Amino acid sequence: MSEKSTILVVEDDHYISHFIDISLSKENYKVVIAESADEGMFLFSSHKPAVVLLDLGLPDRDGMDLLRELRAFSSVPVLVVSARGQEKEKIAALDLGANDYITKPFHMGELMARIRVAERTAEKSGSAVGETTFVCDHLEVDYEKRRVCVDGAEVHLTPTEYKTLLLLIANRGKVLTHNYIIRQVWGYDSSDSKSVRVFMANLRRKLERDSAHPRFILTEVGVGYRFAEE
Amino acid sequence: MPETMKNALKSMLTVLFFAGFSALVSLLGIGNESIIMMFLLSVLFTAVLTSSRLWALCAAVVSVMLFNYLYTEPKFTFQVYSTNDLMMLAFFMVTAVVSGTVTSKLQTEMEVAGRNEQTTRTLYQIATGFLSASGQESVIMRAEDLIREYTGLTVRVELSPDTENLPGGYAIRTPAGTLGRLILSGDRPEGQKELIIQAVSTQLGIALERERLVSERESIRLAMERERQRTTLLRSIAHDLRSPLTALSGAGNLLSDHYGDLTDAERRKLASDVSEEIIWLSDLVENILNMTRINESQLLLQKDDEVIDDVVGEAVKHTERLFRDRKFSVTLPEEVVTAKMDGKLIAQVIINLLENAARHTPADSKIALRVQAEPARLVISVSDTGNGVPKEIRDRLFERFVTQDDRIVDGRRGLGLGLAICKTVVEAHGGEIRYEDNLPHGSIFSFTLPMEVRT
Repeated sequence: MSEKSTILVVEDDHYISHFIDISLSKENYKVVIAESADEGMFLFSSHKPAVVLLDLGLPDRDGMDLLRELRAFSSVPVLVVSARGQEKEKIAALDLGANDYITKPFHMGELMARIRVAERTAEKSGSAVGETTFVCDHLEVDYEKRRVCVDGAEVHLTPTEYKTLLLLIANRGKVLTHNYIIRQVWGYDSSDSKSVRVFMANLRRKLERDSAHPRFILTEVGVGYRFAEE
Repeated sequence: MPETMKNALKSMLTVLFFAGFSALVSLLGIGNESIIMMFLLSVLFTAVLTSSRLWALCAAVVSVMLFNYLYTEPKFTFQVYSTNDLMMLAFFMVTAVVSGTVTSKLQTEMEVAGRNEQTTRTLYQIATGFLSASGQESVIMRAEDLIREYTGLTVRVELSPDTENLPGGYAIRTPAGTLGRLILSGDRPEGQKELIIQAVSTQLGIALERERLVSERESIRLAMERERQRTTLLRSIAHDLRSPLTALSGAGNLLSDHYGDLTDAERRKLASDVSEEIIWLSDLVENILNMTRINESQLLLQKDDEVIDDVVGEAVKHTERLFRDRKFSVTLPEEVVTAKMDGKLIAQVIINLLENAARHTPADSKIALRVQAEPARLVISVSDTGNGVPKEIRDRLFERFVTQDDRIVDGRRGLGLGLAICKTVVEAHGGEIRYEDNLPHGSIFSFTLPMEVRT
């Protein structure tokens, strides 16, 4: 296809929206720009975008408000744009149903990657997962045999570690908050993120060649983890 | 009343003693003229012992009567036959009264003088006692000690201006108003003791006022120092922003006004310059933000149990682009270790150390980041094989605004904030940061973080 999907950018800063517009258009996306939350809501219903790029600091209303409103009737992928150092805000946005976030200042390449992940998540939710293996770089997971290999050599994972790895792979490219991982893997809510951090660091040491330069399990400081595919 | 009883007893015993003594002497056949001297002595002694004119007078009267009864003709009666004896008795009476009065007055004055001297000495000791006390707490303690020492009374100091109208106790007054009260546990004492307590209360007021002035001056000095640092910070930020901004606006202008005239390669070069400058500016902004966090209220730490891998990974992610032409290695401890820390700030410390290593070493240097877990602490070090830190700035290495001014690297000097931030952050975590030489050449910056012992 020559024309890719429509992307709604809700951003009040002209400079930022301008360069996002140019870069996304270059990639053949159709870009719609809204400068306020109300305009965003209006353009969303008229253009039916495939992905929403949402800045949290808007002139009329909090971006969080708009996100809540959107989530009431739509499961469109939402990418939140936020400033550095606002981890609590990021976690809150993720908990409200945002698919991912990107931190200012960001590189265009990073933004493109996030948009692709968001698009793919939206597509995948329809189709059933029929894969029996996952292969990426030096990591190989065989779902049927429950085998995990790094550089061809089998690595022993505990059942919990295996479950976590599957969760990460299923959500690859997306940030998973500490709390989300605890809930999905251990099945309860907890504010104690220390055990998750230690657990994830151990898992990383089993899977990565160099844990200071992780290839797969990336830490999003103060928020959670992201499984990198590309 | 016991005082009167005591004096009466003293007078009586004195008179009786001398009467007895005179009886002994009269047996030896001594004349009445000498015996009456004994009685005069008894009056003088009474005056000295009781310090009272009244009792001296009584002693004189009793002495006259005793002498009359015992020694004048006819003996053992109160009658006097001879005019000679009558004259003697009269003169004795006058002499006894005059000398008794003078003696007792002298005695009283001596006692008063002694007491005054004691009081003066006490007041002096009270006044000097406060000189060596510094700090409000110790000044108050000193006041309570002084009162206990000189009056034996226990007092409590209550500092609060609205105790002004409370009954009991003594107001502690200063030029600035009443500060509080000295509260006595017992009844209000009298005379000398009251004087001492009032003196202590006055001196306490002066000492407290002095303490207030000292602390006020100290806080003014601190505020001035902060203001000075802020100004220096602003000036150096403005200075450092000017050159990249000039470069940015120049490149931007060129691109927008002369786009057609430029070759493709020139455009590309300008654009990549712009993005490089901006990365540098973003780092600067991040450091300035951290700096303001440090300046305000002694650094707000958001401590959490962080896995050191994550923090190191974050720092490495930010700095990797700087190490393209250098050999960079990372060593992590065998086991996964956690420590309580503000992850972002510690990552910033590591970033600053790595950036310094990249900025101040020639290409092809080896740069190593090591994390070692010791029983109760983490040791994180960044070592390089560059030229080390020049001797001149070594002592002031971790102070603000210290840079290698003479050796401008990358055409731009840093703010000199990096290591100062590192030091503040590490010390706020209860760790320490230090510099040592790497062998055979280069430098090692290392810092420690306390770690809970694993159970």
